[in-house]
Amino acid sequence: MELYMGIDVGAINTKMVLYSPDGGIVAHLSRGTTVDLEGMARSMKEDIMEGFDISDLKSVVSTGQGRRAVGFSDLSRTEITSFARGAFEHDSAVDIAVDMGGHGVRAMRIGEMGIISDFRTNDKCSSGTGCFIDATARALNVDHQKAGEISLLSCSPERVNNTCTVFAESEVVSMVAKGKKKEDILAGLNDMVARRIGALVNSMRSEGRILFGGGVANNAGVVSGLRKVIDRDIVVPERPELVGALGAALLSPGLHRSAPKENEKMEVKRSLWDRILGVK
Amino acid sequence: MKKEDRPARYIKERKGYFSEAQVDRTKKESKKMSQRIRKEMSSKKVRAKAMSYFDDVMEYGGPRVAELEKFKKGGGKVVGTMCVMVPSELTYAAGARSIRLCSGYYECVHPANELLGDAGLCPMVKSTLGSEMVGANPITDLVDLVVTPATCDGKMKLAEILEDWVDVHIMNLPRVKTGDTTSKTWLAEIEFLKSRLEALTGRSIGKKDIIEQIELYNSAQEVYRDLLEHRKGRRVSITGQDAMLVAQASQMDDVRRWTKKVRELVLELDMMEREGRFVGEEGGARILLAGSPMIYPNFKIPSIVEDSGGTIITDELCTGIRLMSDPIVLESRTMRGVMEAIAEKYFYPCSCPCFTPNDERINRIKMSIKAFGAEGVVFHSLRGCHLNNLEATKIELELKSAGIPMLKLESEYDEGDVEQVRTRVEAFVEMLRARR
Repeated sequence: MELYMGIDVGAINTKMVLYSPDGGIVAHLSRGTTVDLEGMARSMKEDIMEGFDISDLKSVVSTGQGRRAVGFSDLSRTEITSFARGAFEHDSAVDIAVDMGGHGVRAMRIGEMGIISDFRTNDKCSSGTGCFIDATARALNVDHQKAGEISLLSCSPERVNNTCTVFAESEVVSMVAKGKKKEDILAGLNDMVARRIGALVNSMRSEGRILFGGGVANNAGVVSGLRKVIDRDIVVPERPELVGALGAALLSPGLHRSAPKENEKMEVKRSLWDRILGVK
Repeated sequence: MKKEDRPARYIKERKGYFSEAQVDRTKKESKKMSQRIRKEMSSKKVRAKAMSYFDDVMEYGGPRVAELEKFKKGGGKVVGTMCVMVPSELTYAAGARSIRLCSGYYECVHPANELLGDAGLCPMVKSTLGSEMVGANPITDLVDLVVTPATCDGKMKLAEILEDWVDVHIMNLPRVKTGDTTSKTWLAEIEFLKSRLEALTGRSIGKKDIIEQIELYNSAQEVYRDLLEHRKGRRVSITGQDAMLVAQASQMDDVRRWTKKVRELVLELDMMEREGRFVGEEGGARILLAGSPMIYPNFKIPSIVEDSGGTIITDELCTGIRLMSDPIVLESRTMRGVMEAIAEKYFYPCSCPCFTPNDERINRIKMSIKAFGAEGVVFHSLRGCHLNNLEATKIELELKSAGIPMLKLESEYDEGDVEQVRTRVEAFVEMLRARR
């Protein structure tokens, strides 16, 4: 069995996927990202390969913020390219893929063959991403993994206005002091996150199907909030946090189609420029 | 009114406002930055040897500063400009020297922040101000007069604040390009500048002097166009950073010598191409750089692009190609005709976002995309550069309908955002390559 490994070193968690062209994802692993990226990646590799033959492993592609720290990878690709590839594998009819991770939110438009034609990311500030939900859940003394479920119990969500993580935390504290219910506050927070994602998606002027992935897509509250903000078909993969790692595995050089010669490409491009630009 | 007779507006008690330690730190950090960038740029595997001359010209406290100091000791005057729309031809015709004052030094932002608070102001404006306030850059000490058109809000107020330190001549730039009064106003401003320069040097500017300078600058442009030809091929022999450095050196150097040095550089590039020595990677994504000015040594964005598998093959920056394009066309050789030709060149071809309507800009970008074979546009906006920020949307939509992807980036004068920007640039390059 041929195996291709994708490793996604994210800001909070590191995800690893073993992909086989015959069986899809045959194994996966997820651990908290540590300071010793290289050591962590190595031990994850050892663990995931248990029960598999190492000689079957054809290539390793790393992605995510710490992609360059994975010494044993054959190739590294940005989280944007990898996620888009993974999203396309999941559903080839997707127009916009949204990746909400620990520190970043990225929206990509998926074109033909799963190639990105446009993308947007958050800029400098990671508010409203995974770490935001973590911080506010902590302020409410709630397990962040349950933040979604609990918020679904809310009947009248609060409105959270601050987008800054630190200020939002103090806003939460003042709501608690006023005796607001936990589920209402959480629902308000999740709605705020959903609004941010919605704004990003809307800025891409899309009318097609949306795939929502990344760790935050595990939060049912955000997903339902997003469905309210964007009245459209939203797909959430079963393991949304693995989309990037799967995409990385699929970007393995061995799995690639052969590219046309450079000269031919330039010829094609030149005539394309003439046609589309219409300038002499 | 001379600056001595004018009460200060922004710092009343200048003595002791900035501590010795801060002044020293600003100088030291600026020098270090210049050295670091020079080292980075000159340690590339393939680079024309002739480039080291331009490194010298742009170096912090380098040989050009010593040369100008000598010129000043002999009674010469130095004019500092903060825009491409100031005609250097007139400055030189008056017997003065012209230098670009805009600052790319990160450390100089801090003194300006202390004075103004974080006013959401563009870091280039703050750095230029900081540099002047603490005397951080030896080149700013040389300036007798600052000449700048009132372009964006930041530059205009910068000029006002600078009056506390140095004499400033602000040109009243009409920002609406259409209309009856526009060209008249600008011509009058150019004529007023001429008289101001004459008063500065005590030398009246004759028609012959101006024409001589115009011819010098036109031939400088011709040589630079030869250099640009070397960026059009499938592989290129000069990086976008180096081409930009060369263009910026033209605003610091003696133009006659600059032209000679660029000619030498072009010959070397010819040779490198014959020998098959190219910069960047094979099959690098061909990128057009657009947006806010990038002043040496703030070459953060181009260096990220060129380290991430991109090849900058052209730009539309007022710190790049625009410094050396659109020669002056003399239709009439009367004094009036010459002045009109100067006014025309230093206004209409300028595609600064401070103008409206500014459709010229998108047309120029499209023409460059085609002429240089660009696959994508990286549009960079300095934080607080509202005009470029606004135009980015318009340009992106226009390019999208032409099938050219654009990546919009925002950056500050510090190294904090390098990794985030790098990820986005890498993804953009990956995307451009995948599209082929």
